[in-house]
Amino acid sequence: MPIPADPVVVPQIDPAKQTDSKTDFEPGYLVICWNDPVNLMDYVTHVFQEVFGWQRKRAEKHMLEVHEKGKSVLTRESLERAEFYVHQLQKYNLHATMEPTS
Amino acid sequence: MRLVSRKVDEFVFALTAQEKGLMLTLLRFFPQVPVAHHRLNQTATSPVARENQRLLEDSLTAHKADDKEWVATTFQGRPRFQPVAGGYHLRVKRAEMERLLQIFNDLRVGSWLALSAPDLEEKRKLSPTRLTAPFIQRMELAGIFEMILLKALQGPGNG
Repeated sequence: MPIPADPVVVPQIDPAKQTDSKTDFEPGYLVICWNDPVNLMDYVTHVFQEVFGWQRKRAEKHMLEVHEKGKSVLTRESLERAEFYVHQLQKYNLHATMEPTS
Repeated sequence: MRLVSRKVDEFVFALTAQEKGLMLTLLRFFPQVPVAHHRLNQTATSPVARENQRLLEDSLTAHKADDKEWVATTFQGRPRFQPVAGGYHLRVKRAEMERLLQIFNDLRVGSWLALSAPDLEEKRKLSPTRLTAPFIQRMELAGIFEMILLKALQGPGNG
């Protein structure tokens, strides 16, 4: 006698919370640091070195770009990594955001 | 405050009694920056973006509460300053240097925000009044402590 199969239960996924693998895992987000008149230039350079593990020369280049052009794109990352970096920069009270590339 | 010695994992600073008093007074005002000051992104307004913003603020709130507890236990709860001739020695571990930097910078940025975020390159706008003078003092003082820590971290030949 055949054993009836268990009913297949399809998980209910809230469309608003559904992850789009293409969006989440591709490097589609820019991590941007914006200029402000309060953070010291040496401090900003130090934070870039700490958060991204950059050499001082590279950190200074981005710091000067922030200072002179108003912002600098620091890296292009997946959603999760971009959130991580923005969070790290904000722990240091830098004005950082993440923006989609398109 | 000046650097006395620097090892791989420990920095020793010499402070006068006045500098020690200023540092402890300043640290009592931490934190100053409201967590809502930070935005995850500039434009997104979707429910998911709002939720991500909330998570960011929760995380920053927890981070600052942890730092506040650390300040209380490290600087105000037990003797951290070793008396020496002419003042005190303060020993700071490498990981604590990062924490102190973040804390002093919170005090600097928070004081600046309390002053309505003036353009600091136009110093004339920073004319002190009875209301603004404490914030100007805190902002400048926090900046001085930051620079001393940064110089110590850079070390000779790395600056």
